[in-house]
Amino acid sequence: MIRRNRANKIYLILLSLASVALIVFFIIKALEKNIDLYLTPTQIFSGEYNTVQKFKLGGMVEKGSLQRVEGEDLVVTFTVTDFENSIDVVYVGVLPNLFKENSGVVASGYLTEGNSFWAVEILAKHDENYMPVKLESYD
Amino acid sequence: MTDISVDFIGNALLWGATIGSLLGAYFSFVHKHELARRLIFFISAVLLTASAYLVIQFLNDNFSFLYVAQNSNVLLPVYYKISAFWGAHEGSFLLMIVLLSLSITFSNYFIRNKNQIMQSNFYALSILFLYLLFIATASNPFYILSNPPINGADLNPLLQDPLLAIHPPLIFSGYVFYAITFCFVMSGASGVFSKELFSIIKAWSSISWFTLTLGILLGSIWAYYELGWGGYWFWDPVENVSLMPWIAGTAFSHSLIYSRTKIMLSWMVFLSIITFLLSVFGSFIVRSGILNSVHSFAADPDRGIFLLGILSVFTLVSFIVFFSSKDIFKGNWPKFGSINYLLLLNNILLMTILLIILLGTLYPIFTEVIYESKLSIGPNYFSELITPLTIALIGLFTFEQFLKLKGTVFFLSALSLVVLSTGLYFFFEQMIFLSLITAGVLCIVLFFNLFISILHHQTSLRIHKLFGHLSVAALTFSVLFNHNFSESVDIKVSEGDQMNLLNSKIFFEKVEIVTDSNFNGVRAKFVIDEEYPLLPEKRVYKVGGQITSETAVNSTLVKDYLIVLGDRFKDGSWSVTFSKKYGILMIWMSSFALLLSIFYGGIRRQL
Repeated sequence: MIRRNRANKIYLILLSLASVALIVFFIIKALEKNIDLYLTPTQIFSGEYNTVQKFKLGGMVEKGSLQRVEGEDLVVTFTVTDFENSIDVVYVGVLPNLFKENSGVVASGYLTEGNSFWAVEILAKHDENYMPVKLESYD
Repeated sequence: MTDISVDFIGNALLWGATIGSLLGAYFSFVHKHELARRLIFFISAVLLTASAYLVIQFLNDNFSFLYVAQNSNVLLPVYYKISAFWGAHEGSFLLMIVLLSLSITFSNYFIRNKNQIMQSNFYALSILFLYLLFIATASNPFYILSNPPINGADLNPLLQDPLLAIHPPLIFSGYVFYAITFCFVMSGASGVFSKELFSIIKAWSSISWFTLTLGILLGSIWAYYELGWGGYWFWDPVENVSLMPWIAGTAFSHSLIYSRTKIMLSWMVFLSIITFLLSVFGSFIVRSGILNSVHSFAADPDRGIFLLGILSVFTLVSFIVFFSSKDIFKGNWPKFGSINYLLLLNNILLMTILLIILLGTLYPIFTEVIYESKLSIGPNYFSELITPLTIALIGLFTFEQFLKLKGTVFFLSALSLVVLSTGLYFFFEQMIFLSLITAGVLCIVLFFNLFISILHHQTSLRIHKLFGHLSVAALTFSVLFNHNFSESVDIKVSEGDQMNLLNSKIFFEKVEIVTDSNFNGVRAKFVIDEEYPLLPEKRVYKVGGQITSETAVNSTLVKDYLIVLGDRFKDGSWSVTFSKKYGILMIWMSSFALLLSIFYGGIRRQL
């Protein structure tokens, strides 16, 4: 009797482990469909990454590159660089407050045929440290 | 060059409390309860003094304190000087420790029976000791500069908001209260679960659940009104880590219903352990800086490793206690189709949702460590996977309320519901509406059940349950409503312009200058549909030079109008984001209804 109970318990544990594994498998499948890669300009041009789908471009906004296109409402262009390669970005819309030249930016969008980047969304982020101007000298 | 040293008074207070908690844990372990009890009151007093000491430095603008110099400013209003205390990593951790020690004191004040509290004191004081050690060595808020700056760097402008002043302490309190709950569960697991212990656990779990819910809700409200992207939840990793203990805690609170029959006692203990571990994990991941997130202000790998160490100690100890406990594995499985069985299903669903969030949050970290490729998980992953599970969850607890009905009646009503939903679905002919319609129909069913129960005066004992489940269904409905209908558009406008956008008339009346003690800015005036005035602002903070936008929101029951001011062009026109967000007020209202039910459910035994 005890032995049978123990066998039942083992089946139960195996069954629950199997179902957890199955759930994890499906979750991972769904995860892989929703990945947004973060790529730097150098990685984009290396050709080693999938740039056909939507992805996120990360880097610095090059100083003096931000321009508004005359006559076109809300169209801006700027250059994102990782100090090795750089790529031109076109964006239509309102730029976030933290967006600045010479500061980090993450843009999500697509690579165009002319090897420039069409940004759908711009997420400017301040550094991980909120470090205002004055105290930086103390570090 | 500036030298950094440690302030003597502050540091002495911290180490005093650290040594006190270690001694206290030892005394509880060797059953010298009275000594431990006195030490607990002593530690609370010391920690309160330490916090008051730090707050006084903020109020006096004493910038020789590094922490004050980094997070405050002469121009900051007094209330933000106080809330700047928990505006960054060191202070928020100190606050958490103070809350922890106060909760231990609270327990010891009310529970006089030695047998019920001695063991939990041992666990609680050990936790307190490890956290204090962490603060004193790796996260000390009492560093002083030999060469203090004339003015401080200012509190992060995003945090200068009344809601945000109370959101972090509430989240932390939620975590801390779950830690206390965990200590009592552990004391039961390593001893016996008496009836009195169960009522203590139930009380603490309701307090924790309520506080964490309120904390998360206020965070959402803050994100919606202050951050200016028109959303309240972004599936950001840091939001996820606060949601995970909430989900585990929700499952835990429900599993406490088993306690009457002691079915699945091990499951209850397990849930309590993972709720606690997830909350520690939450503070670890937010503060370690390994996540890319708007929240990770202080990135410091040393702290991350220290906290990871604490987390592993907690995990190890709690699972040793869990598996060495004999009593808790004796319970039986619930009968198929019984209320307890449905409760088990509910817990399994909640755990699956938890697993989805956990994997989605951790996956980017793993790929970065293993493949060195940076990536993020789109919000669609979460919404697509979690929506059907939530609908199933609502369906389950709606079903449970009608379990007592007779077979045929039950069958007929279930059938008519299915027919109604399918009919509505084909009427709208769109896939995305399936879950929305199901949630809506279930909402109506739950509402009528609540109404009928009130009419028949059957509600005294379970109104919180009926009302709480109704508000979860209503919350799901309004979230889906918001998700499927909200729209947004970017435009360029000049003063005096009038235009038609998203079926609304927008009139840009004027722009004016505004100033305050700590910022300068402009305020625009828009009028929507000739009746709703909107006043978005753009501010430049005097000290840090940071620019923020103050979103203007006009709420009606069904939809919100939002305007965010962008940049000013050379010709004097502005770029502006105009959005219509649906169901926001319904989301807040159903969340508050849920809070109310959790609150009543917690206190009704004491009434």
